[in-house]
Amino acid sequence: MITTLSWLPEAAWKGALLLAVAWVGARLLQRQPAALRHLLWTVALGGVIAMPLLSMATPVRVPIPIRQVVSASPTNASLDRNLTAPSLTEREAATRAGSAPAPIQTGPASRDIVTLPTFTADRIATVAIALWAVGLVAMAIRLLAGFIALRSIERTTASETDSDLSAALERAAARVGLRAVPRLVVSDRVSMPCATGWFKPVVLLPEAVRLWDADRRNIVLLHELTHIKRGDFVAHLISEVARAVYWFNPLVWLASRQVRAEAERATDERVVHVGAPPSEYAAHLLDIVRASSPMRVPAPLMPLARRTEFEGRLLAILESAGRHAVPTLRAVALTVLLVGSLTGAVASIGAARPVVDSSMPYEDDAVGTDPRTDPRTDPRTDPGTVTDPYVNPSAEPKVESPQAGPQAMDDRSTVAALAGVLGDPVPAVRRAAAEALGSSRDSVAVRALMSVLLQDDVAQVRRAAAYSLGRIEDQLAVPALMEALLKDADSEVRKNAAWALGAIDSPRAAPALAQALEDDRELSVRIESAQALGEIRDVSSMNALVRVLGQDDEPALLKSVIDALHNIDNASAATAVAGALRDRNADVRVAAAEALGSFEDRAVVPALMAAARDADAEVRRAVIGALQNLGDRRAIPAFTAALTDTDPEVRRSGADGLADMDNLRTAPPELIRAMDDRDAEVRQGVAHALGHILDPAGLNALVAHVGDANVEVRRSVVEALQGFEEEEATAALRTALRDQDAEVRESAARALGERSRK
Amino acid sequence: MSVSRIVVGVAAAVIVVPLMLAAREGPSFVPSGREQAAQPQAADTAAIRALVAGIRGANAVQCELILQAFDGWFSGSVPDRDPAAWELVRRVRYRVVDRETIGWLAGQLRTADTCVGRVASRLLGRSESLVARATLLSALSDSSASVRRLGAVGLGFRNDSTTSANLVRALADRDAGVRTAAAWALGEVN
Repeated sequence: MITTLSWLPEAAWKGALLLAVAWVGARLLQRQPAALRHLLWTVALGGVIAMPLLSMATPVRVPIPIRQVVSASPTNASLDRNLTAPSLTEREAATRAGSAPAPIQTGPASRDIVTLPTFTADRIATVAIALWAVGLVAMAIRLLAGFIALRSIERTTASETDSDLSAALERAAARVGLRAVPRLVVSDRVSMPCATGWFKPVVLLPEAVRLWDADRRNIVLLHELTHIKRGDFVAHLISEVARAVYWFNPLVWLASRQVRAEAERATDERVVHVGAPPSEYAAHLLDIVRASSPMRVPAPLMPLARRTEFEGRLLAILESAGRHAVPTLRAVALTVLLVGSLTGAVASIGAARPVVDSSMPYEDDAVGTDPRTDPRTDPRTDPGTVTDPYVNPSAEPKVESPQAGPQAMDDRSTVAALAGVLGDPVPAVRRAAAEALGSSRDSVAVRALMSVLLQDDVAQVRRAAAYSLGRIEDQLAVPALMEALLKDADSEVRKNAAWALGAIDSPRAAPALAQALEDDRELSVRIESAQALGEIRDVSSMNALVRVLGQDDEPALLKSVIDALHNIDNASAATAVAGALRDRNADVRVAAAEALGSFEDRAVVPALMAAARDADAEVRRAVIGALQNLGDRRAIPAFTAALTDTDPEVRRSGADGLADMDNLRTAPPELIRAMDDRDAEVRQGVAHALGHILDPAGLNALVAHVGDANVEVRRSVVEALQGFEEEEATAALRTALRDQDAEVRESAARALGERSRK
Repeated sequence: MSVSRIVVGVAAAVIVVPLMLAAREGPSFVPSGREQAAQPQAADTAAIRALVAGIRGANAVQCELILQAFDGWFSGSVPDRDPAAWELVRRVRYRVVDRETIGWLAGQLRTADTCVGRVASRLLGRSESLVARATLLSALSDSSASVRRLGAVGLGFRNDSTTSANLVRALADRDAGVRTAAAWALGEVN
């Protein structure tokens, strides 16, 4: 996006380069028709005008290495090894390196408080921009004033009525092939014949035309009408605009002059070509130039000749006899194509892109597919060792700002610049760049990070690359991450690679993750691999997960494996997971119970019932919850036993399990007694269960709690009583009509109403 | 060579060179009337100065805790530091500061006290003021490497992608710390 005038210098030097090449091209075309050279200069100047837009729009950037000046000072050498934080100052770096911190500023008066930084460069730039703007405005005014003057001449001067002159104009128009005869104006405000206009062209002649003989009139009219036929006004306008914008660039002025000169020469060649004798034509031009008085010509006009640019033109006219005046269509097309291509090439010159090894085995990967169908906008924290938000810049909180741009880095030049920095000699710089590229969604960034992941010799940089690839979530990176996962010497790199593969969520990564899960020597890598397999949820990884579950005894690993199996949600793993209910570690047993609850395999009910007597309350809660999910009648004794558990949550789960049991018509005595539980939530659950079972044996317990101290319990009791038809239930509901809680009264009234209707 | 060509050539040199400088420096900002009207109360200026005075002389550990509190990662108390200054951290960390304070904070980027410089860069970065933005951009081209680093870090806190071009240029800085900070900041602002 052009937000400043920073495009101008770039466009200026690119334009200068383009014009320099155009100059060489024009020299090579010296023996060709002048029309071809005129075309070349016109297209080149058009390219110069369009350069800023082309530079932005060009899809491909030609690499130009970014010059990196890296001092070999001791400070930088120490930074190379120690700098990990982006805002680490020299003083800190020196402190970490063990050397004495260099004082940044000396002098007692200005030790802490100094004045604002100087803005000399800013001021110079401001003055320069102001000067450029003044020049632009001046040039624009000059062009505008020319149009106004031209319009004034046209309006104040009547069209020529001289019949001889009009007849000569019609004959000349027919000779040059003009379909419409332009308007002819004779005015004393011009000293030289001129032509101007595109849609409504006008030929302006000086008053002296009335003294000219017929030959001179014919030749002059032929010349001006040829300008109109050739459309030279458009080229003239292009050169004027280019001069206005790049008025500070002498090459543009020279090119503009060439456009004018070649237009005249091309016109001369055409006039000679249609039959004007060269010597006679040259003599007339010379006489006209000699006789004309010096008068300023409005900018939009193309005079027949300029005194300052007449050199060489006469000789060219005299030598033009027999020369081709009109270039072939092929030559025109070739010229436009070449200059256009050259313009595009110059515009595409920019910052370096990363050098991607074309021999890398990832070229055939699905570049075009979008793996982000399920984007996780809240990525997990960096699984690496870096957790300090200051040391790990990616953990710095974002500052909300009205100027906030898109979250994904979408500026290709920024991505290319950061990718170029991945080759910086200082590891801390490479690492920061690798982390920054994690905000990108560009395949350029992905390829550069892949290259770093596999080739950088500093582990911290590779870790950052793996982490960023996980943030980008592009499937293109899967093979590189798999290779890093299985081969990198640094366990943190392997761990980050496993995490990234889980974030990318590609089934292609499952075999590598399964291998790392079983074989990696580092526990953290195996745990991360299991978690990644849980993210991917690919059934093919079941066997590896089950094997680890049966062979390993590391709690954190087993828990991750069970969680992964839980996510995959395949009942064939139920038996293996059930074995983990006997694990020494409570967290593992909890994870196993929770997983078994979701498998819906009732074969595991006996194992769960056995685990319902687990010493750990959290395990018992998970087991009762799992049994509740399965809804198997064999679990009734476990639910009943849970009602007397020491943990209130287990007791509540037991009541819920009984409430969910279909066709249970007899309330276990433990359930009825639990109506007197000291925990209100348990009593509430028990009331709900009794209302569901509707065993008259439980009615008295419910009636006894119609005045329970806890309002939630009273509400549940009234709800439960609605199903009982006994007189005691009706009497209890009448009592509830006087409850202090409106909801209780409303429920009781509704229940009594139902009864009266029956 | 004609006189006119010489004049044009000299004019080109006079204009092109400063324009190149302009491209390096980025735009200059003159605060609009609206921005000037939105200046906060003088109390903010006093609070910021009190904060900086409170953290001056903090050791490395204390500074890390202060900065983490500044970033919202830490809500405890810093050992051996003035609790009043601690409270100021929370009070001013997202405040827009006035021009005078911005100028004063810009001076703090040069202070020998590293912690003060880092806090100053955060305050400037989090200020929505365009003057603060211009100050940080100027800091990015300062002759002192430590000031350039703090300038880049401050820009990283702005979340303003229009500073990307300046930060990209800083990637070629001769100082590794500046390049590191610029790379980090680019990851933050984009």
